[in-house]
Amino acid sequence: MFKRGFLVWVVGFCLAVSAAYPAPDLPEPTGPVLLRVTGSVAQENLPDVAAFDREMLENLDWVEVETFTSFTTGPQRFAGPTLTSVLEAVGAHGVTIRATAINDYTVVIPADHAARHNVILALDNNGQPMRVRDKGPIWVVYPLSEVEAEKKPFDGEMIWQLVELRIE
Amino acid sequence: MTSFTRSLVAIAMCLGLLVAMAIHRLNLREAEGQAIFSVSSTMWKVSELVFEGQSMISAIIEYKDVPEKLDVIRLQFDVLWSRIDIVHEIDFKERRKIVTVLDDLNTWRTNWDRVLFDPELSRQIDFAEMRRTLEPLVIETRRAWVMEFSKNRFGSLGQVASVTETKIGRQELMIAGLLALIVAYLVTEIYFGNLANRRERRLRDAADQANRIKSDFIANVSHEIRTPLNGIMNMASHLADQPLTPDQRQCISVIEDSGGLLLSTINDVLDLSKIEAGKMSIEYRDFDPMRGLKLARDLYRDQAVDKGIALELVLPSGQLPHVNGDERRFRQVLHNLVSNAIKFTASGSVRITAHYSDAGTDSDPAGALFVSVEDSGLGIAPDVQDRVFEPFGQAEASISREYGGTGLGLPISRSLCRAMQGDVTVHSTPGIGSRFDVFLPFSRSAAQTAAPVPVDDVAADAPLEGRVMIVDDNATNRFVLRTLLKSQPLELFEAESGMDALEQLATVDVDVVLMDVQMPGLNGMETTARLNEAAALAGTAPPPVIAVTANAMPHQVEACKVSGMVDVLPKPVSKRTLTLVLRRALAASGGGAAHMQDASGSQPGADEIRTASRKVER
Repeated sequence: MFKRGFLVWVVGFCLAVSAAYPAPDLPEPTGPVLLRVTGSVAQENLPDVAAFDREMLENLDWVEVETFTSFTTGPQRFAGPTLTSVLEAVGAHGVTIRATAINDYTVVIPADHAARHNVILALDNNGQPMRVRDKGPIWVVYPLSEVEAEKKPFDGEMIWQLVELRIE
Repeated sequence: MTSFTRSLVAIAMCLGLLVAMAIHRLNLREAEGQAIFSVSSTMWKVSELVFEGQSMISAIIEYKDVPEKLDVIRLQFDVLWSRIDIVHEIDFKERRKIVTVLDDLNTWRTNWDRVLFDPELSRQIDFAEMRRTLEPLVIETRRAWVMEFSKNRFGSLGQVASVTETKIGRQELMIAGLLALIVAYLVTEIYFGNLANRRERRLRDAADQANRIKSDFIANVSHEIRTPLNGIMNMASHLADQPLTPDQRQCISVIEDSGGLLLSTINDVLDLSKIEAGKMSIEYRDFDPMRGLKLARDLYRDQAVDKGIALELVLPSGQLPHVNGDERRFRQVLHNLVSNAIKFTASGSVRITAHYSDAGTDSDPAGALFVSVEDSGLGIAPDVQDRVFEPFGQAEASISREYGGTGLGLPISRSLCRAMQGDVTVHSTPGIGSRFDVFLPFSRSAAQTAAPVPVDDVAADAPLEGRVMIVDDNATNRFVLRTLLKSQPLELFEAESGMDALEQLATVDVDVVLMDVQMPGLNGMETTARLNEAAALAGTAPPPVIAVTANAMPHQVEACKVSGMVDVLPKPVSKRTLTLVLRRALAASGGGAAHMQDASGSQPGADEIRTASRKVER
């Protein structure tokens, strides 16, 4: 009994201290689904998932950044919603994000990276929507300077061909 | 550059080297990490390519007959496409096989891209052909991968996409450069250090040489001055013995005063050159310091009275003990200080105080003699108090014009005191007066016996009798000696050279020989040596030989003694000293062979000269 009570307290505490995002009602996607958000989310528009089409992502906090990555040459102009805005939209409650690509490749991103590093879920590169062959449909991008990018600080987190975020 | 900045430069270079090495090490570690990362990421990328190729084949097999799953095949095609791109970005350098396979994959994807994404063509895709063409490429990729990066070439994988190599190289170059700089610095430092050493040695040699030349010059000049001064002083002294008018006596006294002053100046200069040449010798003997103090008071009392100032000798702790020290030097210091004090005091008093202090410790039983000479004179400004002890360092140039003097007395006094392990210091307030404190660590003499009876007191008035030979090449000098001895009932012989003397002495017996040292042909010392040899051959006692010389430096006196001379009379010879020395030599000669020890027992010469000259100074 004590053990279970303790666990409940721990979980409750974690939930309480983790960012609790206000969750407006999420509309249903009308176009092809580009991103699925699962796990501890308050908003779901399909069974067990908050699904986003391009239009829904465009309506979030859409930003454009010029940045460098170690995978590309020269400055890249990425555009897409901030990860924070996506987490807000789904009312995410969690400390880690398990991000999965088309081919089931998965990385773990700490949830607080979203705000601390202004992470964006890039859909466009240099004004064009990214195709799968160009690391689309979504590339998790940490905005960096050229010097910073050379040290590859977030290469492990910068997953491309992203299709799913699981909040844990 | 000072040595301080030079050492700073060296330290900075070493620090720079350390920092460069530390950075280099860090970068090496970083480079190692990057190489490992590069290897693993390359392996990952290629294996992903192979995996996605296989997935592509599986997708074709699975969905080739399901038209609504074309999107899945397209998606897989895109994923494969992106994997080919990623591997393409790796610089495989000379690995031909994998580069060729990548080119083939490129061609394949371009061909099928056209078909797969064309609305029309995509309706009847030849999936069998698509699979047939892809399969060998996937197998080939894997094979190339295995071959190129098999075990023996694995190590070279790190080179692929190694970015830091040039950076590391640059750092190594920098470290080598710094090392070279430090080595070059060391070499130059050693070279220039050597150069400086050699230059310094050369300069020092030159300075020594110059100093030696100066000393020789001073010695020569003083010699040249002393000889004629000898004549002047003695003639004046002789004239003073004649009946004279008061006017003439006045003139004689001026001549004697001036000559005495000149003589004391020459003595000072000689002393200084001896001090500077390090030839100052100190002779320790038991003596009564009271005698010197009283003499100083008596000598300068008249002078003080003339100026209207009091000269007093005060002994706060009563009588002084006999001490062991150099009496002559002690007196010299005392005279210098007292004459200075009187010179610079217009009114008031000059007070000599003295006391002896036994050091309280058992380890240092030797006590010290303290003498102060205090005046109520000009005083010396604090900033120049040290300068008064520098040669020719009278506090102000105008002083020397007003009061005269060479300014050598104090430096000589200080040097003498220091040579005796003591010192002389000054305390002075301008306008109030000065006090010179002398401290001499003379121990109490072991036996409280009186010092040898002072030569002054030996002087008796009994006339000198005997046969005396004067040997000198200079007729004037012979004349001077003859004149000085005229009043004595002596039988005088003269010789013009050493040879002449030897010839005469072969036939004539004399009691004493007065021998000039510097003579053409046989000099005085050689003549003496021959004389003694001849006497030894004949089995007779040779007559005692007294050197009469202007070369009165200690080593010259020593040389005279060594050659067999019993005594040395420094020029200029005073009538008093000559009489004294002759009296002693005649007495010794009469007493037989004892004269050698007797003569070497005391050395009246120089001391007497000084005393005499001081007397004349009045």
